[in-house]
Amino acid sequence: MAKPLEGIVVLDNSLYEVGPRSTMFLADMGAMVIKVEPPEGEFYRSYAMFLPSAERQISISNRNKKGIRLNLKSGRGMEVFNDLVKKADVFVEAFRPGVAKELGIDYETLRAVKPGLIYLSIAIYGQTGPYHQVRGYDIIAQATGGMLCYYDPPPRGQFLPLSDFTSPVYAAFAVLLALHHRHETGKGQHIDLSCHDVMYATNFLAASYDCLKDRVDDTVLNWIAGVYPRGQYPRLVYGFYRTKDNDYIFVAPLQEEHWQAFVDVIGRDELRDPSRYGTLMQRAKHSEDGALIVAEWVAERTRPEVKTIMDEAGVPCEPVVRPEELRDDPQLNAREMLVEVACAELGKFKIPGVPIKLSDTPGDIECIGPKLGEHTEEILGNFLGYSQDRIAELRQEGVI
Amino acid sequence: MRVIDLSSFVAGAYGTGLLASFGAEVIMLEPLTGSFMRSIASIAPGTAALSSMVNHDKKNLALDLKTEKGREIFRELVKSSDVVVETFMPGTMSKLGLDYERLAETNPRLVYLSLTAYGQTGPRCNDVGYDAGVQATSGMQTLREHPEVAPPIFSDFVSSVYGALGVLIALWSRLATGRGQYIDLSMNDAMFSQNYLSHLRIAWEGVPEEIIAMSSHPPRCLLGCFRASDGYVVTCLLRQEQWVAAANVMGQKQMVDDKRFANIITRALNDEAASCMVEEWTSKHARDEIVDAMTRAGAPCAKVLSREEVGDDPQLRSRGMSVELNDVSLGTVRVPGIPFKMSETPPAMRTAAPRLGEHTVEILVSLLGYSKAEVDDLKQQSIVGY
Repeated sequence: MAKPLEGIVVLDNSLYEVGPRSTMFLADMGAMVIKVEPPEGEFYRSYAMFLPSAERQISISNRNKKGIRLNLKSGRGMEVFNDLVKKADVFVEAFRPGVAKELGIDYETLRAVKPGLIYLSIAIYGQTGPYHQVRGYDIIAQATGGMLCYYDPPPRGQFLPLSDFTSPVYAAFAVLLALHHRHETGKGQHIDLSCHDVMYATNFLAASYDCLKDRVDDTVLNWIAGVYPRGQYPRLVYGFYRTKDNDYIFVAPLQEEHWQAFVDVIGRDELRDPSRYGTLMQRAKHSEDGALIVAEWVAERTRPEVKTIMDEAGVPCEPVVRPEELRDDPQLNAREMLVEVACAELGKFKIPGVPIKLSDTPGDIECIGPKLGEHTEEILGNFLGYSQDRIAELRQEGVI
Repeated sequence: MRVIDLSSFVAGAYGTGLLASFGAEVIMLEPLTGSFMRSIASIAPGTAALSSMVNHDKKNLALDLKTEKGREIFRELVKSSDVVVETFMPGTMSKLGLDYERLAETNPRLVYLSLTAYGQTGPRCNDVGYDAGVQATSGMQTLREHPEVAPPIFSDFVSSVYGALGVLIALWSRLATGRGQYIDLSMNDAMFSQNYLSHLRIAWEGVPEEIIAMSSHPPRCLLGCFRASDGYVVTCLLRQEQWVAAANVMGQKQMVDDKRFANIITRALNDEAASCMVEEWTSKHARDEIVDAMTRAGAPCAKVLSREEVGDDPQLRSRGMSVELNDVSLGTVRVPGIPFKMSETPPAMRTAAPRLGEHTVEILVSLLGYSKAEVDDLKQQSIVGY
């Protein structure tokens, strides 16, 4: 069965994670994604000089793609580039706003080369607004998108790159919207994605605060949009605990039936007091006192013990899986979310599978990300129809 | 494009909300007693406003799927629809006779998305899934500085975007094949698939722990958060020129002269000393002052905004990220906008979340051809509500 995006050609000029991870979704589903790298290669490749495994990272985000090495700073390089654009449906760039124009590869220029082109720009603050020229990274978008204020004080040095994680999914979604629109009308368009906007859009804390601040009292506001430690979800019905073996576990007796089973398991009469724990509202109000009792109970048991007991009682409970456990996680493995790949230079290793499982036209992982310039000749020869002589000439001139 | 949305909370619903913003007709289907979200609102009434964050621009049909007539109406509706989205425990729709296989018999063009915590298969698939539980099992929570603190809802939102993306891919495939298909999406898969810090560790098997740790969580002097006199700022001083620029702003000659800070590696190895020098200066200045000076010098830096500040951030405001919707009973409700702009097909968020059963009559009469008397009769029998 053909893959769903077969026939779509994506020219990806972006580096690092956000852009490449956006086009990864498209490549998984059969689009032909051509990764354009400058002569010196992607940032990660310089890393690989002192850490050979670093190159494995490129092989994940750039799986299923073709790689070409092209000098866009030369006139001949731009000729090759324009030939590629003429055959592309989608173009992706993640430069600082304005740089694409300086390079002569902005939307207005490229749409003249290829009418109907879908042009995706990804930038930390997008292409407009007072900060759009500010240089930024993931945590900048998180800081100004309100993602770091959940703890007071905020984490000082241990961040999850939430914007790098999430922006690519929105980007791929936007590209699909644009493809559908082009199918109907023949028109391409420009997509302007801001990582900062993404952080605010997925930021339940700040968004729910804005939505609720004048509608509910402070207690309720702090349950829903609370900044830890002054406010947060009531731990007694939705919380994390430390186990005897120094792991963590999540227990959520939020629904009434689960609460009853939970109280039986913990077996402490205090939790049966109807004046303090009779309703969800009361449990939330007395959450801290109740959670201390539960914490004591959990601390006497290991993570597997707690999980088994809660499972048997039917109380929602999940272990906090440690990074080193993920490789062998039974759920992820059962869902083919860990796929073993191998290549001569990098050896055998596991990479994440395709998260969107389609029944009839599923995506898959055909190959890992390309080596620097791995497909330059193939793309120029087979795809653009250049002669061997022309390719040799371009190579000699240092264009490819 | 018509979407039947059976999701009961944020997961799923946020994704169909995105589709609605781009013109899809999304019909939310709710039991006559209301969804989980409404049950929260019955405890704390003001929280009803939260529904507009995900259910804006949708229509609402109150329908009891536990009755045979209710299921018949559902099947009629599916015949003229493109997409069904459901978030029940695996097996639920099958028990109702409303699983993909059976619905596809009458509408082979149907795209059917099941979005659940752990998907339809695997040992955890029957676990009652909560957002924080998924963050725990997908390897997110363990990487947080405070693994004992429940994180804000995140996977519900993000998985919904995966869901919406999956729907558009399946619809694209339908253009070629003429057939819809089934999408089995697991929030746990989605969260794991984007957690590249974990991938690094898995793919880097055999690499020393210190290197993995440093790559997953770069030292604070390279990428960190520092105290200001009125809050916190973050800085990203990865490149040498950025470090030098920061040193000039701070007037700390030592940051440049001291051999310990000569390059990215030595700074990483002397993180505590390097971070100390940065914080010594930042803690004496206000956030605005720091950000202005650093930005002008080319050292990436930003204010850590509090929950009170972020919605009024001028950048977000200028990008239209805070959208005001008018709710008949709640007044003006502020919700986040769509985080990307499209030149030809801009999104439009127009209406707040619908009331329970607000469009029941309209849908049954105009779409399915019932008479008003028949609908009233169905209401009498508690099969539909409005």
